[in-house]
Amino acid sequence: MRFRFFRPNNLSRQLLRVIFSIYLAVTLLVTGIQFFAEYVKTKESILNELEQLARTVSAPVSTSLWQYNDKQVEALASGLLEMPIVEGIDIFNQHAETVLSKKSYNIMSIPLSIFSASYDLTWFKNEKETKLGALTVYSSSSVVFDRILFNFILIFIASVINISILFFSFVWAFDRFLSVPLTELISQVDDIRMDRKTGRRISLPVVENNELKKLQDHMNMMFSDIENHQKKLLEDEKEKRNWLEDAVAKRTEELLVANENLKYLAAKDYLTGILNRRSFYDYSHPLLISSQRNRSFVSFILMDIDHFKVINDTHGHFVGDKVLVHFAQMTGELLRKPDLFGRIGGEEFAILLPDTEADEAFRIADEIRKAVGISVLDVDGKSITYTISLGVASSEPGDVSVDELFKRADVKLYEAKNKGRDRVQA
Amino acid sequence: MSKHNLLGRLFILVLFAVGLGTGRAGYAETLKVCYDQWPPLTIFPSNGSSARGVVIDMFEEVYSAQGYELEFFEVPLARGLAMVSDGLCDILPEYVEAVNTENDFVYANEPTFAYTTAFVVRRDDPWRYLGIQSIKGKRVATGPGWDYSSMSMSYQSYIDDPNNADFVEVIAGYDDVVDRILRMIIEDRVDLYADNELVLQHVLNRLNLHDELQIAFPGLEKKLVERPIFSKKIPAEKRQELIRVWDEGRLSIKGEKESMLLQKYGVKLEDPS
Repeated sequence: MRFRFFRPNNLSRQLLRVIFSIYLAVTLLVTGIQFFAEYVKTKESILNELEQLARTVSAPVSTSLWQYNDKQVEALASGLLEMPIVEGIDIFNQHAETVLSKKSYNIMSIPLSIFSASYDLTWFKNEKETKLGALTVYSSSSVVFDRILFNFILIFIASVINISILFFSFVWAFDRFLSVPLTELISQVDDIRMDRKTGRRISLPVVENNELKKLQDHMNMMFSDIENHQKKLLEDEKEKRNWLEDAVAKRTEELLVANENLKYLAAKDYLTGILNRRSFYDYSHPLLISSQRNRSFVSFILMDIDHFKVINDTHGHFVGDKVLVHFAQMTGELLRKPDLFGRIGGEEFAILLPDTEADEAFRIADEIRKAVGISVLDVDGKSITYTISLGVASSEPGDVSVDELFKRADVKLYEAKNKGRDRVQA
Repeated sequence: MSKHNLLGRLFILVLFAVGLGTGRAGYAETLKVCYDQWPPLTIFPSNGSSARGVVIDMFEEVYSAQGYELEFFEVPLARGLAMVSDGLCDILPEYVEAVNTENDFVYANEPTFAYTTAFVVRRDDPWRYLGIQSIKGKRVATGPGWDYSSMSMSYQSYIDDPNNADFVEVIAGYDDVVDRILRMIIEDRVDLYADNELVLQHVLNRLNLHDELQIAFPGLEKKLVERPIFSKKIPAEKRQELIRVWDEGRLSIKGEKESMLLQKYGVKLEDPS
């Protein structure tokens, strides 16, 4: 508790500490001033009493001095010293020499403050005053303290009671008017922050029309502003998101188209528009695997334009290209929809025929040969004819790649070439 | 030694012892003496001196000669009087002569002394007492309760008269009163003081003040007569016997014996009259 009071983590306690410290300092200051004033007043009073005392005893002391009654002087001094306010007494003769000196305190431990009252000792002889000396009576601060001690015990007790009552009153008041509302305010702010519920506002249970009420109102206004701002932000965000989604969709569509184009461009031969060598093999392989699984057959036709180098050398590469295109178009028209047709070399073409046995493949190959043989290509006023050689191979149960078919078809193609070209060799 | 000789010696010894016992029963009676301090006439013994004063010495002289033993009680005068009245003391050696039938004591016939009074003045003071008129304007010292009425009614009246208060210094105290008065005379605070001449001599001697002060005669008109007093609690016959012993003894030591006793204390009777 004490530790918390000196190092509080609570605003009201901190304020209380400051106020209480100020109050304590002021109380100490005022009490100190009061004590000092009381001290001065009491000292003055004691000084008056000393003067009266000195005046009172001056006559018997004078008589005793006059009559050299040292015992009486001693007795009077001892009696004086018994007085509660008297701390010492000095009696001097007319030559200011000490006749008697008595102190109630140890001379080695003189009280804090010594003060005195003196009275001249005289004697009337024959109606003439004779100076005998002086009587000095001493008192000290300890006497003053003794006299004011009781009052200051009362003042101290009253101060302790006042401070205690004020302390607990302050604790209650600060808790009631500051700590509790602030704690509730913090709690409600946390709830609002955690719940994120719109429209919720701070509502303190006990709030007078003071700064806390204004703080509550201002925070509620701030929450409203934040909510409005959030709504606007959300709407802007939604709008941006919709725009972005549309843009992304549009872009995605464009990318799909471009992708398709790229895919198409990647799969086709740039000149003839049929499958290029890689695509042809890519598409052929699954068909071969599928036919093996279904215990059916695929056939592979490998075609090569006869003497194509002569065409190029005779008519130029432009015409050669036209021949390739012409061949591709014409052959494509003769093929079925599931058949694969591709350009696998300069003037080499291949056809994969799914679910087609060797005989059917031979027929198709020969049909192509014949169609090519009778066709005439007109290019720049020139009529170009050409022939092709074909090798046909059909799949066998052990084939696991198209390369097997290619090799066997290639052997047949060479046989056709060797046998005079423009023929099908199966 | 023969048998007869031995018996004879024992008989003599028994007779001596019996005789000695009988004698003590007749003479070794103890008298209780109460006395106060009044040097040099009565003095309390101290560590430095066992002297008891002139009057006590006289008492011992008188009663010892008659086989009495004295037991002393040093007390203030008032206590001594009370003790005599109560019978706790048999004798108080000195008490001022007065006629008072209601006293619980009886005076002896012979006074201890009929003291002459004198004044003490400064050595250079030519003043002398010539009646009460002569002290007017002088500052007179006196002790409280000091009764001069038996010596001079006019002097006592003068001291007691409130109109003379400014010229009368009443000095209170104990055994130092006379000492202080003498010092006051020296310091010119008072001018004169009257007392027993023996007392004044004794104090002047003791304080060695003869250079500053002098005893001035004449003193007061009458002498101060003091007598021993005896307790009425003593059976009358016995009391009369004690008084008789004193009266006879006091008369017997007058003259040279008395002077010797006074001289022991450095004083003498100097009454110039």
